[in-house]
Amino acid sequence: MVLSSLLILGPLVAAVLLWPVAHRWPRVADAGGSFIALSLGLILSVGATGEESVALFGSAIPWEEGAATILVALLAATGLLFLFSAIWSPGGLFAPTAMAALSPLAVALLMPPFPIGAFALLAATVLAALTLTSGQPEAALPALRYLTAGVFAFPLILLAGWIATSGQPLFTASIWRLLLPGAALLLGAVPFQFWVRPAVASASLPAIVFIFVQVQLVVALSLTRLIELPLVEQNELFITALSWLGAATALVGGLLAVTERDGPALIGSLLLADIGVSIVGLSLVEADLSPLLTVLLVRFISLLLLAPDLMQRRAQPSSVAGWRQWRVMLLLYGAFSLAGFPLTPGFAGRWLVVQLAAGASFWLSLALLLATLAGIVALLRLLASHPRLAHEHLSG
Amino acid sequence: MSDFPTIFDWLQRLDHLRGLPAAYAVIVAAAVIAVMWDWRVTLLALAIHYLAGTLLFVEVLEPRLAIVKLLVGLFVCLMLYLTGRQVDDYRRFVARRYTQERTSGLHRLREMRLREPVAVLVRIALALAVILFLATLARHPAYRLPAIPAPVNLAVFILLGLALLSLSLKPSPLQAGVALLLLMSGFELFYSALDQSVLTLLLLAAANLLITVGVAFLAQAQALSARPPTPTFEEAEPSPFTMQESSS
Repeated sequence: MVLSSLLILGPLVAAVLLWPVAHRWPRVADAGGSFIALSLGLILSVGATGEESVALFGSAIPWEEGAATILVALLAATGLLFLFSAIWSPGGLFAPTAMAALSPLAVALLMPPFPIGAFALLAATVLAALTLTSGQPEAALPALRYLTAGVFAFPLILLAGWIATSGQPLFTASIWRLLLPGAALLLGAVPFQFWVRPAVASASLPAIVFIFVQVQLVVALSLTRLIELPLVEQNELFITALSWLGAATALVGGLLAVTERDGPALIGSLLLADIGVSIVGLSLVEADLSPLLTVLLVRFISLLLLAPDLMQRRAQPSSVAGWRQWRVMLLLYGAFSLAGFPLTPGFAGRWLVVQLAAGASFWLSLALLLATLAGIVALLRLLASHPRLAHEHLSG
Repeated sequence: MSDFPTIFDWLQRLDHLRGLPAAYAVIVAAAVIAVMWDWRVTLLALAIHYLAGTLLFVEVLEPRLAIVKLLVGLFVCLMLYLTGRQVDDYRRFVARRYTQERTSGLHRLREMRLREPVAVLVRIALALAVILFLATLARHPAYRLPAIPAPVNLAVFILLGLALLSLSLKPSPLQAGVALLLLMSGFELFYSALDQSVLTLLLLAAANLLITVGVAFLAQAQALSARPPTPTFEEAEPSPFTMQESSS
């Protein structure tokens, strides 16, 4: 009881405390956020041992070891992100808004996907949208787009959950028609990718990482739980459609990357392709969650590799320190990793999903390979034109 | 005190407005939201939509629960009104300080007139097209939503359609946020008939308030992003307090 209250109320209380601090001293708020997130992770990893159920909203929910482990990882990753943010502070209210979003993310992980899980996803989306504007008020419109996507997805997920749990035979056939666009909206898949590239182009990097790794991880796991409901699991068409939705997103991301001339938009396109790969991974979770988790973990690493240069340039555009060469190398390595280039962390996730997809369909794996190839070609083309130019382009 | 009318007295008095008249009122208010660009008019229409919408919620919910929707709706309107005022005041301050733009009461009135009659006509035509198309669709038995009466069915279809139209026409966070709330309202009219638990009712109310907070935050962030570049030391002007003193 104490642990569950701490997980849900703790981040909210921390957000309220960090709010005034972030206005005056954003770096201190980020450092405080890092300490709180890491402490919560530590308490959870120690306190969850032997826990059998978690009391939430008056009902006892069986405590899942897997969910607890993922929550610990989520808190640790967020703590690390806050630390990055404290070093290269984008300013603004990143720490309190991201901290507040951790609370509904924890609810969505611990609670069943319907009905409270769906509401928690909406709350997490709204609060995560606010993080996009931290230090970058011009990201308000991409943030609004993301919020719009979340609000549109909410009725679809809620209705799909209601049908799946109430077992109304009349609407059973409609579940996948609701769930598929709901997933596409929340994950930024085609044709609802309208928020992905503008968000990447204008928001600060910690906010981008938070949305595309932490939030998407919880969204994907909530969707996994919905997929595991008997009425959805029996629907072969839904799983196939989800796979092809992922492949289409990866291909569109790859094609956009090839045609892209603007650096931040190129990173946005590579991220879109990676989202496609993660959706294919989501559709292959029958066996285990490892493909999905691997893709998200390497995405986290890839984006963090981009952080030193992108954040330093935004904080001090004129800085030409001795560290710059290292930052540029990390930036390029991170971009190639995001594209799934061999010998980078990104390749591990990409190859795992391609292998699994090959078992399901040859064309599916071919689509993923083509998308990966397109992303690598786009980056090599930019690099070949001029290494210095490539750096200028990627940093925007 | 005992003479103060209860919810049921009010419902009895407004009995002639229940059903189709309430649906028409909701549709007209939603059409005004889609057509008008002035945030004050939009918020007034949103409040009217919540008032009339309560009469539709009574068709699918217990009246004491339906009144929660009205209270939440009015609270949402109040929050958005305060945000709109703050954003407006900030924009006027920036305009006065940096561009010497006139911001008198007369100027503000001029801002509210029909500046782009062609655009307004196009919006009206689009709104009418959406209403006619969706009204026809809502009457078709194949598209009839389950568990809700015909007037609510009509209102749900048109609310969702006009919310989409409004969202596509209005780029500002405040106006787009109103469209999102319209969308939520349309969905709630349908979903309330399916799931009538108090928990869901409370969570939906919380969702509306949270969306409003998000929209208000983004509206203010956008207003901040419109700020002109910080002047250099030589160009720096006196603080707002100095300006007020000199103007007075």
